[in-house]
Amino acid sequence: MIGKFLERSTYFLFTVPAIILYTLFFAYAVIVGIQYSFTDWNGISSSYNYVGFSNYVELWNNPNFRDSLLVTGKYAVMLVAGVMSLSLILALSLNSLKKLQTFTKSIYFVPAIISAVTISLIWDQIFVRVIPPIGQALNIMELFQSPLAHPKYALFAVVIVNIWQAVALPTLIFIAGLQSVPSELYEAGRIDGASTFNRFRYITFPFLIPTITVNMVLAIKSGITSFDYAYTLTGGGPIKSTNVIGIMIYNDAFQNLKFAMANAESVILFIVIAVLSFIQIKLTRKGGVH
Amino acid sequence: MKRTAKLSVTAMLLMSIILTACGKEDAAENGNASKSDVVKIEFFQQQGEEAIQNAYHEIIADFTKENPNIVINMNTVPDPVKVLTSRFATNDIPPLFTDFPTQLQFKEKVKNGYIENLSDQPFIKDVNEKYLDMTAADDGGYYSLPYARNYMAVYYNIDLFEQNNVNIPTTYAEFIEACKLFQSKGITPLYLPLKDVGHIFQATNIAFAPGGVEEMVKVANGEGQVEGNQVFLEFAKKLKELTQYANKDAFGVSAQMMQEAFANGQAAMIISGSYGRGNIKLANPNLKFGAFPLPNDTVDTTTALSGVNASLSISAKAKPEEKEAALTFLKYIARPEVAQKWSDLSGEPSIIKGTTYGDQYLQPILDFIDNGRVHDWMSSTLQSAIVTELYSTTQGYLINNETPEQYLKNIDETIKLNAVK
Repeated sequence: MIGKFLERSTYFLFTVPAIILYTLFFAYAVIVGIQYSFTDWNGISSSYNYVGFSNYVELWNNPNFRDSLLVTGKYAVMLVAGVMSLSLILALSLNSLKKLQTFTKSIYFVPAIISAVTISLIWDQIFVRVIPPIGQALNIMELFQSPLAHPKYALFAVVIVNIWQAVALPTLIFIAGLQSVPSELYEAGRIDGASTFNRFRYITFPFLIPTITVNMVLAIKSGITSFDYAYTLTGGGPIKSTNVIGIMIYNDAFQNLKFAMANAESVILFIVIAVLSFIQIKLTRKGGVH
Repeated sequence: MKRTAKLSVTAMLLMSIILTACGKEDAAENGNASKSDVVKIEFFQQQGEEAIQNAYHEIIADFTKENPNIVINMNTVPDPVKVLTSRFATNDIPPLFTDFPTQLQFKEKVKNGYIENLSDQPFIKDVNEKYLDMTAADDGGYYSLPYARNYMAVYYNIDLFEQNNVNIPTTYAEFIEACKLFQSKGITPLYLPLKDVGHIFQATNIAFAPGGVEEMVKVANGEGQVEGNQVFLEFAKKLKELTQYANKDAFGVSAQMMQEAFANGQAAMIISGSYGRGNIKLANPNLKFGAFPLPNDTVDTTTALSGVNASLSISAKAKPEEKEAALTFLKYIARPEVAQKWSDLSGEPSIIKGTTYGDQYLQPILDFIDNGRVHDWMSSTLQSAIVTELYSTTQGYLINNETPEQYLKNIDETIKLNAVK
């Protein structure tokens, strides 16, 4: 009897620590956050009132929130496109290296171990001290000032910095995916006269689909929840051109004392990410070698 | 069966380790604390400028020699205002912290009982009354020890002024004349940090639009508009005119970079807060520089932005021994000789009675503040949500080269959109 119980519960018991930690640090926080989004709490006051959906209604009518969602969308699209294409190219190149492959891979991984804030501070100096002299020497008007100073280019500049760091991990994941392709398939392809592109399209790509899914989900999530690069490089400026939703939430909560409103913004962000991830996983589930 | 039992035991052990890990650490810490009488308190200090941090470090080191049973750990973080708010929101209030007692946010904290009332403490009487009065809470009590005043002013390079025979401008016309002269000689007249446009906006608005802040408060209350306001229009035109004499890369430059550039003699003037002085001195100890108020059309209408700097407060939620330790520190730091040392090291003008400001070139701005027209920082009367959003509106005006009329319209819209009802 006891034996049977132990046998049944053992594997469940193994999951209990993770469930407790997850519930404590994630589920509870989410529930409390949703609860606050229906109040008028300012973050400091010891009491608050329930105001129903009025925070959500106010957000709907707030042009800053719409702009911020748009900026976040643009940011995420640029980040995903940049990270996915660059990391795939890097992975293919690194995987085809005959010598010093491990050493080269570790060099490409270095940006991933530096903190985002440090990287941003370094790039900020590059943008403000290195780019303008180059712009003046080449007489390119757009580069006379730091790209972060111009609302047209600031978002692009922030994304470049983010991509510079963010390609490392997906590259490694792609390399792992590439190494799972059996070499005899390539051999067979070659014998059958398949071109390089066709070998990639019909042999490599199907094996890469699971890793593409993982990388894509990670990139979309990191694009939509991005905060650190834009905050350190521009603080959301100039003229809110890099005011991603993460910065808006942070400022509304801790600067503008609209804590409940910030929670409503977070809830909307949560829903957006959940929907996007769901669609993305559904779309990429079909096909590929698992 | 045996394997299953072993696995079960391992799983349960894992769980118990996780559940008890935190408790063990606490127990160990409590044990150590009871063995000795040393009280450790965190001092959340908001001013990140290197010179100010160094001054506090020195004062804390001196204090520890006199009070070996109190250990003060100063904690200075980037973006401290928001970090402190988040700590209040999560009920993790540092026992000792600096804050801005004239601002509406501070008054909200007082109203909710988070901050210790210091009205009856003897050291409160050591503070210059003019500044102490500015810090009174809504109930008339004092909840912080105001330690220094601050101001926004034009810092000027004395050598460049002397070499080019430029006198200190006392009117806006003279100021522009001086800018033109420097420009004609290939010297950058004014180094502006428009990436951090906030304090430039505040300083210029208070200088060029007397009564402007009060007008904006009316807009927030739904009682008026600045669109069409002649005084505001003048302010908008002057603000834009200043950018004609500024460094070309102004929109990419931060306040810290401006201080460095000025310290290295790259510009004749900057519009800076008093907090910048220490950093300029650190970057170039030999630079001779003075300060004057940003002038308006006439001497009589010139108004300087000046207020109470970060003041020291004690958390009402702290443990009794922490409060006691924090109070001991405040009593120590309020001594005139300690305040004088702090002022000399930080470059900040102390408001503790019996101290003097050891900089003959900057004394004139302090005299002006004492005797002339001054206005406090905007966040003392306008909600900070509005003030910070106006920074963005101002950036838009300057970067997009909007008309002054459009700028005023945008100011109205920004205020209305961000006013907390």
